[in-house]
Amino acid sequence: MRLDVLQLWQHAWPSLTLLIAAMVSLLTSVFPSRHRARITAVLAATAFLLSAQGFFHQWGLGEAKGFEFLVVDPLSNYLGALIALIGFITSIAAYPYILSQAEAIPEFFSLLLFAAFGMTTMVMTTNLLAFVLGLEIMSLSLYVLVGLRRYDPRSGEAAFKYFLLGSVATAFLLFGISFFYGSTGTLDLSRIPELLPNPEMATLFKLGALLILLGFAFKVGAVPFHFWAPDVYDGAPMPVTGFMATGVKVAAFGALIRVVEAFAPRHELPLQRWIVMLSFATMIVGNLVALRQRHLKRILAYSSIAHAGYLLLGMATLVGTGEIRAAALSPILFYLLVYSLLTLGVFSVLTILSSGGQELNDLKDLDGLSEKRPVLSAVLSVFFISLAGVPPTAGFLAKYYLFSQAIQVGLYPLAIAGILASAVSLYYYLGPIVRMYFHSHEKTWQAPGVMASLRLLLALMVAGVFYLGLFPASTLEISRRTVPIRALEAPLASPSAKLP
Amino acid sequence: MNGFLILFYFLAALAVISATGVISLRHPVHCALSLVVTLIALAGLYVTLQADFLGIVQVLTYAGAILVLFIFIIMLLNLQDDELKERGYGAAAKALLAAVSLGLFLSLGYLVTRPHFPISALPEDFGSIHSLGKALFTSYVIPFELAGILLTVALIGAVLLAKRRLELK
Repeated sequence: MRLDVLQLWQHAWPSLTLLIAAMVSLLTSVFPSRHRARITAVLAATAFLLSAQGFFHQWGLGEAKGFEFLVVDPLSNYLGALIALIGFITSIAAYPYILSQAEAIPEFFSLLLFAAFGMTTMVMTTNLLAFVLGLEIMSLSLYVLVGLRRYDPRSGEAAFKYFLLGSVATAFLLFGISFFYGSTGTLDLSRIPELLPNPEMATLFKLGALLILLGFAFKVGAVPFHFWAPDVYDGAPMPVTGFMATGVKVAAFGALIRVVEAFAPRHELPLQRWIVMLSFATMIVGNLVALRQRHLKRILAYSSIAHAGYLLLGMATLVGTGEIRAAALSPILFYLLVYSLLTLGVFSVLTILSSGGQELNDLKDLDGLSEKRPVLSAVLSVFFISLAGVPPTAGFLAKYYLFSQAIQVGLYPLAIAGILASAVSLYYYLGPIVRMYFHSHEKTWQAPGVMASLRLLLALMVAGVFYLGLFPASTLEISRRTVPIRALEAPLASPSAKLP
Repeated sequence: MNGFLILFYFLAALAVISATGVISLRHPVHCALSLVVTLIALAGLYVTLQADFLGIVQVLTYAGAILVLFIFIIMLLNLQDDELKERGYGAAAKALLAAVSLGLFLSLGYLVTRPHFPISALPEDFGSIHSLGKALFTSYVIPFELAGILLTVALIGAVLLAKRRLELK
């Protein structure tokens, strides 16, 4: 089969835009200039915005067929737009931070673009070969981004740890994929429904599916494969941590949706039981361990682990509904959007506070912040409160839809565990707020003023938190329509039909 | 049992034994040499499986380029004898670990060898450079390009992390 390049560009241009911008921004180093960081930052932000707009436009066009390794459907475009927006916010928030570093590295923005390109590749394919390549493009860029503060030994340690453990995770995944290929003879997930069940291969197939799932568990930081996350988040530069906590989650969960959907009709797999166990452990451990942390980034690392647990709960309901996915998929997509918005909000503010050349680290560093930076403190508080799931913010509604869906398919214990766990989370999300407002000011660090564009962005994000919390209908409609129409028309699965 | 099959089993055994050497030998140079044997045995396996070109590439890149790099790094690290002292696990723990990994190896081997994989007849020019190149640049062109991007990112990352330190402000 010959590849029609023009057709490829027509359908995949939002993703390719990121790639081209990454290459072009590398070439800017040919011209030695004081403004290199600014040029690459503007280039990256423009490319991300253009790409997000492109994905959104493509989303309206529906599904495009005709490529073997590429899937352009509403799901890939929804996730692609989200990834591009994450990149956009990160590149704006990171610009003053990068300038403030002892060693300003303009390549930061190229690597950001490369990583985002890898992420979009992961969600734009059902072929495991292309998926692994996208995953590795993302991972390699992130390893380097984590180690970017070369003069800081903690950054180097984090990069090395992430590299080693990430490679182990990829090894798991590749092992699983090779078993999958051996037992089915294909690398394409979308062909699973055509395959006849082969009892001779059943064990091999099951093992392959399990190893693939474990590889994913590693990448999203699900318990018990979460040990790398706190150390890596702690050592990475602040904007990179925010990018990892959101972008990687969106890309990995996006790809996991495709894997789960492909495997769900195969009843010989105890897929739901596996995911329920992972989700259970992840929600409980993530939230409980977060209570004991003293470092801001570690708290946020465990928070992101806990949110991975909630999202896995959504995945478990997705298996439970079988082929009728509209009702189960839209809460997951909405949750990914809200979680990314809130987490990026927190990290954007923390990045601003770290832009004085000194990395914000201990929870104590926030003491009395409200006296010095009242607006930033208020903004940070909004994001934290919403992450905890307090109404009327977006965080509450996102959790509400997710848990109510789990109850509808009959996963009562899991939903109750999730609700209790998120009640616990209120404690550690309120901790920083208490520090900002009720502790006296000791530290004398200086953070520079905030750029106008960043101010505007933060204002929009705060508005988004309340908009999504109070008027979610139009956004929910978008996430609902991300599912093919035929799935929408089918009736809901009977609640307890496919429980383990 | 024909000659190819005997060769195959011989190379397979050689690969496994030398791979054990990579993780059990004490001196890093010995480990690296053991790895060379593993990689060459693997190249031989590819050739017996009619993937001649893959075998040649395996020798060129892995046994040639990458291993030379390993040896260089070991040389640059310049490890002293007392740094190579064995530490960590006791005898009992070692026996346990060996038993676990052997068990894992055998059970995986059992799983993989038990089913009869459906094997279709190979096309005439299977494994040749011609058919490989054709596949890479037609039906597999998207993964091929992605792999190229992956290598570019790796190169950029290596340069960024290893380049000369700039003056700190």
